[in-house]
Amino acid sequence: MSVLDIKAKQEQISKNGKIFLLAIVLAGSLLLIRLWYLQVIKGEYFNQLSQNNHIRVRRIRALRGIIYDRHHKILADNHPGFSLSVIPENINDIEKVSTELVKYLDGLDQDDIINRFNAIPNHLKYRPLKIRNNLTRNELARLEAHKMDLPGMLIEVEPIRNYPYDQQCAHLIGYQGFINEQELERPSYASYYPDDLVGRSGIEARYEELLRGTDGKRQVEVNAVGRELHSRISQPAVAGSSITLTIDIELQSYIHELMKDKVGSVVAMDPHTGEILAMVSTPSFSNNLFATRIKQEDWQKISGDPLRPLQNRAIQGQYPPGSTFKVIMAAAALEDGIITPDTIFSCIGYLKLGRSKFRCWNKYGHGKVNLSRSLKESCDVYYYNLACKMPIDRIAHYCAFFGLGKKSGIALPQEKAGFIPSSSWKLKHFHDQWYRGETLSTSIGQGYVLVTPLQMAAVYVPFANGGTYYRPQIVAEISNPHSGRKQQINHKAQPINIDTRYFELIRNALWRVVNERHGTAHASRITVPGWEMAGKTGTAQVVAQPGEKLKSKKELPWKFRDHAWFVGFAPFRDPSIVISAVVEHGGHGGSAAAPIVKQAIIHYLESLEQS
Amino acid sequence: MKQIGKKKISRLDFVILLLTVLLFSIGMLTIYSATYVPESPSWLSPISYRQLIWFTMGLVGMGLSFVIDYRYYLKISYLAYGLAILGLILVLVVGKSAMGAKRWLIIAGFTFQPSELTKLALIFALSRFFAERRLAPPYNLKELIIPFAMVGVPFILLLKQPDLGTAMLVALISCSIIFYAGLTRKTIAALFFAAMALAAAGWQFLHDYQKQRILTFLNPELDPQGSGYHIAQSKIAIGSGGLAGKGFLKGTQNLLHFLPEQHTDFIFSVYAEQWGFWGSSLLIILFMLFLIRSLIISQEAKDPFGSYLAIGIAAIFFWQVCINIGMVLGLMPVVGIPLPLISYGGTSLLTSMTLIGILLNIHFRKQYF
Repeated sequence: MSVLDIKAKQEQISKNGKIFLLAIVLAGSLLLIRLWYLQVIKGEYFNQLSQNNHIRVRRIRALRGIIYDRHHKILADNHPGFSLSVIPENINDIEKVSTELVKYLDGLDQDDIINRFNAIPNHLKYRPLKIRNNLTRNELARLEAHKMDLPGMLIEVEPIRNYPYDQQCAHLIGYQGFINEQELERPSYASYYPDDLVGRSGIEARYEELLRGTDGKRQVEVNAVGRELHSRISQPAVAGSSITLTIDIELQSYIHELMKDKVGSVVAMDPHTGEILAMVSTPSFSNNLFATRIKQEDWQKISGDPLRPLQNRAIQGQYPPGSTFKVIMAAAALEDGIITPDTIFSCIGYLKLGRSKFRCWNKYGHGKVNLSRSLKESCDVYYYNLACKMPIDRIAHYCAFFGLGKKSGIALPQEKAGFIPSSSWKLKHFHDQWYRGETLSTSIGQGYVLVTPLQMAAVYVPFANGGTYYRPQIVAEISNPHSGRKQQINHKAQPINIDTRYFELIRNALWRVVNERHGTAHASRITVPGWEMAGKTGTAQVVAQPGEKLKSKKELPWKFRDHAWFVGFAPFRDPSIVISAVVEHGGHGGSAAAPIVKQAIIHYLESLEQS
Repeated sequence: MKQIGKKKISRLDFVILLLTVLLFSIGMLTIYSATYVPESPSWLSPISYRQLIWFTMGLVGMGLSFVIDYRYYLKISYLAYGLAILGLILVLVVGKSAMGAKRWLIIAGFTFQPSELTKLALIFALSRFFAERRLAPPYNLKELIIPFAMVGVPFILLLKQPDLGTAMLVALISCSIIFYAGLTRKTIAALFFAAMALAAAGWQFLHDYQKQRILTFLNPELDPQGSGYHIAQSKIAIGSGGLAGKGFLKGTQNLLHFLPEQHTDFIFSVYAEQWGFWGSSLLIILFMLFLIRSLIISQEAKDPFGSYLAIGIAAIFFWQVCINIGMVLGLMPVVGIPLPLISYGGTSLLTSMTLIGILLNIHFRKQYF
């Protein structure tokens, strides 16, 4: 090797040294610039991402508000239960996980879980998906033992709704159902998680927002596989408001027992306040079944029952009022001066109008009947005569005073308005004029007229108290446990613009219905001194009047029998309770409905006396 | 004698030594925090402990490679190269496979990765070739057939394993030495285009997972759960460190195991999350100083062999640092290359320290005839 070669090589080396130095500095600068970009320019952004990476916000479920009766007895509260959820974002293979779960949980529907899992939109995958609530002890033990095989599994203590009186006031309290996907999309349900329960009927539905309370927040630190490490409450939960109803659960249970094997409804009201003391609808259902995921067979049994146990007949059952309607006719005719208290009509068992015969229930006729007796013996012909002199729209006008033909506005969902016909309605819907004969049917509470048992109780309140209509009221007080604020719900009185002497007159006639011989409810009179009951029977036709030719009513198939009505109040001197009762296909009001009202009233008055 | 001893000691390159100690200390601290388990009974994790053992072995390797005059390496260069090639062939025939690649040999119970040796042997062989060349630089393409063949054989063998990362690394290091030795401008241009063509042609020889990595690198959204996830988490870790960092043992990305390979390939992310921009810049600057110092050693070497050898070593460090940090910063696709002196790993640490011993060796003997 020559020295020259070495020299040439070394020259080359020192020449390239500068290039290499430049390369080192350039590479270093490039890394530093990138570092500056990531850590300083985008630092806050990545910091946020790292927070999101390991901080999960989990909710603390607010305790649902408690529902009380008027004497502070619990109608709905919460019991602790264990629930199993999975966190969708931590599950890679739902098939595998659900196959595992089926092994540990009895009767778990794997397809249902897979479907629900797949339906969760991506942005909600961090929210736990409920698999089962109210785990049994055995299930809990099995799950705990296999905890390691089930990533993303979450066992939580969770309140479960409990209804101590179950069937006895299931319609009133209502039930909860699982929220569905469409609802979850809506902004009003933004604070709900998949598989949350929402009130679906009754008070639970009507006061969902207040009962629900406000969920709290818990910040949980999780590691890369989603296991929870630490947690910290960042926002405590606020329990839902508790709601005190006007219901007297003791009376409610008693009436429910009376109605046990019957189909129908009973509504009891305080005639001085409009407060509902009891609201029974039979057949009933167990709302506790809905507190956890209801079994398919249970649901089918309830929803497929032809007697429709889910329906709250007190506010949703629409019946022709039958003769119970006559008090309105009487009051209207007196106020309009069509009759005086002493006006007499003659009943020969029917009234002929044109070619049609309008029959009285008593085919032999009542003879000479005045107003008081027309109510006492429920003479139909008397009211046909009134109807001949009163336009239908005038009747509708008076019906409105008593709250018929419109929703009462009680704080319960899905109330039905009932129906009071008018000439303009007939024209609009049938393109036909109103016929006098139709007024005759209306006058005895048949034809197009429909009322709910609740409405009918409210109609008799002014007759009990001397002329004031009260809006039916179910909630007495709403109290917020957080702020301690209590909101009393005011009674809403609407004095009726009819002379109080007429109310007095009809009131006395209603006393005769029950307490005099030949009164239609004489069999159900209350003999306890000072507790005398007044009231009115009613029989609502289900099918057109069969006529004399047909066999006796007892032999009719059940579903063609008439609905039996009775509305009564007591004690007569100063009534403290008004009760309306309808027994579907019960036959005559005096025999099927009045005894129930009588017993309920006695029971209530006894309990008042004791306290 | 005392005077001579003092003189000798002053010829030791304290700059490189100091930088080595600093870098290793940072590495130790980061491995400690990457493997830190809160409430653990032992204060030192087993991994940190093993790294310390490897360090003492590294010191021995460094001492040995320093004591032997580097000119002796010239003599064994080709032998080492031959052995490395033999090792690579053996690995393909009888090697232990892991994760679809054959990379390890088991000799007397020790697992051994011939690709590490290849890097060393190749820089020895290339340095000797250029040092002994009876031809003045710069060289043209025809004059470079032999060195390219020397690189080509192990390159193809490495691709066969397949170990794309090391193959590319070996190519880059070799090219650095060849470039340093001197090329004509024409050759540079020709090589540049040849490399481009080769890259395009080579695409179809890549394994699917390798293609996937490159595609993911170009578009991380392609695979947010796979290797894209690693890079995303690495960027989150580094970025969230901000200017000042989250503090020692306070890196949530690290502690909660969001980072993959946190004590090996992704250790820079662990460090950057804890120490922020200031700390990360310090680490990069330390590496750059280390590289510049190596370059100076190469420039000041007594003979061309020393220069080439030193630049080869510098190239090994340079490319590993750039590729590793570039990868965790999301500038490069994911390849399994550790960060020298910082990442956990016995082979890597031992190799690095042996190379530093050679650098000290070259520097020590620069004005010694």
